[in-house]
Amino acid sequence: MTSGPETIKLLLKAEEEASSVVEQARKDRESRLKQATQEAQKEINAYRQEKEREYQEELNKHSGLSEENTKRLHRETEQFRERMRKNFESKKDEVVQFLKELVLKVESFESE
Amino acid sequence: MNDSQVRQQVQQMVSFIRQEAEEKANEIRVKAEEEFNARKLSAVEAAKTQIRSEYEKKFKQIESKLKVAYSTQLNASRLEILKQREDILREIYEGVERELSKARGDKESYKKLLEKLLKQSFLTLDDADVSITSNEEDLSLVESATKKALEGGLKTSGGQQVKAEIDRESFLPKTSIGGVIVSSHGGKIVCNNTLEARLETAYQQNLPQLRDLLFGDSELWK
Repeated sequence: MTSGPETIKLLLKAEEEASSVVEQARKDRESRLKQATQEAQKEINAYRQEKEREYQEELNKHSGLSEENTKRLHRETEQFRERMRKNFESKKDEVVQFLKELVLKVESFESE
Repeated sequence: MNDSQVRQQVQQMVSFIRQEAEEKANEIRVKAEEEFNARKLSAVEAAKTQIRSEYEKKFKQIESKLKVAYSTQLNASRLEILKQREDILREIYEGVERELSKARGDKESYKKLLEKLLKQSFLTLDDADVSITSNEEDLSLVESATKKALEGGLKTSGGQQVKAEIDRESFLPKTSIGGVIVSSHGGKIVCNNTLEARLETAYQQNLPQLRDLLFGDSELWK
């Protein structure tokens, strides 16, 4: 037997359940959207770490190279100075004599 | 309507309400998933773009920082080399000065040199009245050298007899390595024939050649 009030009760109950189903879906939606920010942040952090790692690698590579270049530059400069010094030592007397003679050689105008 | 028909109808309504709710809920879930993806994607992309440009800058700075550091060192090296060149030229210069001081120790040949320097100065000035400044310690040598230089009557191009006066009050500085300064017209016209002036001239006039000799060797640059 289905009386009038019982029918209404059934329908009301169905409506109530229905709105709680929808309400639950809305709540799920809210928390899902919050997750979007969190998951995005995870990916972003991973990306930043990756970039930082690349950067450190590059930095180390370059610093190593640069140190090597610096050492080579110092070495080459020293070698160059050494050769310059040796060349000077071998030519010093000749150059000094050359200049000395120029100073002491006085044009006498005798022929004029 | 009988009871069973009523029950059936109520049942239909209840399941309709449920179905509606399920559909609505599904719709919300589907949309939520789309929104989730879109929101996540745009947040990630925006951040990646920013991080990328941040690191591009950092990468560029590595290069330029190291380039600057290297070029600073390169300049320092060049300066060292330039300084050594200067040192070498100065050593040459000082070497010549030492040699000239030695030459001055040989009185006889130094007197001959003074005589030549004086004669050249007289002829350069080409003036009848000249004054001679020398080192104090060279005074007696300069006196006899002057006599010799004027021996036989040295004349200007205008035919005047040259008369030379030796300054006995002021002299060349003690550090001077020799030679004379001859002047006329009360010191207005000067012929500087000191050995340091002659060295300076010889040095300046031959600087390219000296540089070439001392630093131009291709062996140096290998």
